[in-house]
Amino acid sequence: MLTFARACLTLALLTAGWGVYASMRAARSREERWAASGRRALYAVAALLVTDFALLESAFVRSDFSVAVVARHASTTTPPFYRATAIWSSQEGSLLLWAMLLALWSTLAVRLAARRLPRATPWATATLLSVALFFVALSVFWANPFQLLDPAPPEGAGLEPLLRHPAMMFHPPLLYSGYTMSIVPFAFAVGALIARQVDVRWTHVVRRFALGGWMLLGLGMLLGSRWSWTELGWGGYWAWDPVENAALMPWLTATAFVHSTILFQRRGLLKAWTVGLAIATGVLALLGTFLVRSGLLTSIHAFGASTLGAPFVAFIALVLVASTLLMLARTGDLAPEHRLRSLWSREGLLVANNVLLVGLCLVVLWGTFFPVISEAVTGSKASVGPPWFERYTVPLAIAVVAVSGLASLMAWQSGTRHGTWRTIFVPLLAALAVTTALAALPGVTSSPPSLALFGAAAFVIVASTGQLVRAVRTRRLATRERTPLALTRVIQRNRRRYGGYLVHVGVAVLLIGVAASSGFERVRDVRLGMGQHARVGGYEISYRRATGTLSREKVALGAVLDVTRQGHHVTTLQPTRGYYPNLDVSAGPISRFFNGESTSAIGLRPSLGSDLWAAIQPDIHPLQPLMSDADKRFLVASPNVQALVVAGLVARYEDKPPPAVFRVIVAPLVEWIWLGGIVAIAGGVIAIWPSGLAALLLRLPARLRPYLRRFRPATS
Amino acid sequence: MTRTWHFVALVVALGVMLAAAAPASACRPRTSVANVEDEVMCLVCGVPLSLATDSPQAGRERALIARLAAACWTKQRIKSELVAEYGTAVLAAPPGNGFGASTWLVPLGGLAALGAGLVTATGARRRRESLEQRRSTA
Repeated sequence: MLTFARACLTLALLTAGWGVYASMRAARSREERWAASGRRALYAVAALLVTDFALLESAFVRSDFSVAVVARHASTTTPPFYRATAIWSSQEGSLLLWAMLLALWSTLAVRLAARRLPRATPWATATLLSVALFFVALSVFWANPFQLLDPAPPEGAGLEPLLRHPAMMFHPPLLYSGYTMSIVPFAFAVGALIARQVDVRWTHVVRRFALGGWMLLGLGMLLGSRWSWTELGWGGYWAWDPVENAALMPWLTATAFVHSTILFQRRGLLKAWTVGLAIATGVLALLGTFLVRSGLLTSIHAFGASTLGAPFVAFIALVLVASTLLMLARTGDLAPEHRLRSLWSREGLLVANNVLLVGLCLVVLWGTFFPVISEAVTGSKASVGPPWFERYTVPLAIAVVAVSGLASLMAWQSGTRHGTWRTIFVPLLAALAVTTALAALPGVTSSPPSLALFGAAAFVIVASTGQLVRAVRTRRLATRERTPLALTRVIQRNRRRYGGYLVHVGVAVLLIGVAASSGFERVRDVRLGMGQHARVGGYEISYRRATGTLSREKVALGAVLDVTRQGHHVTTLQPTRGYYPNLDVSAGPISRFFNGESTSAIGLRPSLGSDLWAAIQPDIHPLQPLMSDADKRFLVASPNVQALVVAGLVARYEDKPPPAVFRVIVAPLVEWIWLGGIVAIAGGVIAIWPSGLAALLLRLPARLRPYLRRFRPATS
Repeated sequence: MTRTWHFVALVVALGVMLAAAAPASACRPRTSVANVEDEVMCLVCGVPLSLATDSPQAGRERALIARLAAACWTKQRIKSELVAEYGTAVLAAPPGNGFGASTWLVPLGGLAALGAGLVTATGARRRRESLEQRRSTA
């Protein structure tokens, strides 16, 4: 199996190389046979990588420890679900996944674009295959997933405990899909530049890939944030960690790109800016992939230090320099056809929003890389954490939200003062009313940025829904349709516009959740013995009893907390701390069950109002004399006996628990973050939905008939 | 009269003794570990202290913060103490002097340049077009 898999990987490398050559030859000679060869090479690379991925996945599922990467990241005690996802917890598996997804999205893009952009598509194919070639080369030469372990160990190291969560199934594939889809607009921008076809046609081809990449990156970040909030013991959902920023940066430029294409397609504005954004998004996607695995920046998400840093830096530098030189060489082709006449117009405000989004991205980029820059310049690594990022991103986010709401209300070109005032009056009134009403509530004015964001979000929500309401009302007057039908028809006739409004509403709701939870959360660390209680944010938390469980995977010690408010029972929280066995047996046959890696399982009561969150840090010091004694007594005991001893210690903890430290958080409107994100994604789906898809699906059987006739048995 | 003064002196002395014997935690804590840890780093882990749940260094920093918070120190004073103990790298935002000032100045300069570029470009185009219009009508 390994030999076959390695052969497929090597063949993918050679085929990608051939595909680059064939596509470039097609582009220069304009011969369709070379272009077809290049495309077929791309399809072949996709097929080979899918085969390799399937083979590696099967090795993980079967716990085939003769494969080195399986032995390092899985074990027989890892549940099957997590064994299947362990493939992308490894450097090697994740690179293979990345390359496979790139090849698949590239296949789709090239198939759709070949007839529409005959001159640019071969260059785009060459670019896509070059990126795929790089990643496959990384797999072949630096991080081969099919390395043999001989002899194969009887047991593997197991999956990192922090990664044992259902979100692990979706979070990395979504992010990687987002990254790889972002390479498609990049490749077609490069292709359009080289082929000197920088009119709007290439943007029509890549629009859905850009929007798809934006959606998947957003969904990946949302899922990661939710995972962090509901599972990890630090009580937050966004830490401005370098790896989080690595996904945020291309998402910001992709947002700017999606808006920029509207201006380019409708008004012929921002031609160079649009090309630049597509290239920037692609480069940032590569940079994000690099950050996770280079070890350059410290992150809790990163794979850790590796030898991939140098080839990645070289490749990204090459891409950046080549793209910049290409844009400079095509300055004449990038001259704008039309000019912006007034900032106080929909065009002007969309441009302003673009500038704000790019500014936000540059701020995040600077803050993310400053530790490396400061080390290079001064010799010591400065730290840049949440306080620095929030100082810039909060006011910029408020500005982005406000300007996006305003832009959706403004007329194209320059509107009249009276017309402008009429359209913004109601949303402005809503924003002022919301801000004033909230300011009257106790404590709200303690966080002015949150209050400002509430007002801006209210403006956007009223502005966007107002546009939809007006459109439905107009249609109902004209057609006498009922409201649900009129609403459906209005959206169907302009999915892009109304999908966009829904995205705006979703992002506004999400930011309301962020503003409320970060501005007004109550956090308290308390040390409680059994039977004791504490007050947090208006709730009374009482420690009822301790809990302890032992499974094949871990020991879990926890507590049952009763939560009441004004004498009424609200909920029961059961936070636990899981202790995974230390694989180093010299740590003590019994102690090793308590001194390996540990993770928190949160006690959480989510609600639309506020989330109640609790984590526990049990005090196991009183058990240590018993553990040390047991280590000596049961040094050569069988695993079953050792398990009984551990069960005894767990029962002892349950029976006589020492006081434990609890972190309790009351965070308002956290659930609005996830709801807002879902609404935004739904808006993206509407915007991306191809018109006539249902009709196409109905016509499909007829289109397949000529192919199916070949398999009909001959009649005598 | 002398007896009265003796009585007053006794009461004052008792009051002073009681005040001195009062526990340190009679003060009202002005901050907490959770409030401070978002703004400082775990030096060994290289991540914000709030993210470093298991590291021994993180435990030491948290213990110091908890002790100082219980003694009613303000957040700023606690951060100064952490800097005295571990150096400026313990802060989650670089100091505003020396090379650290560039963390603050470069983004401000960049944003100002972007905004100025936008306004200037729009203004310059309008002036050019207005000039061209006047020339063509002249």
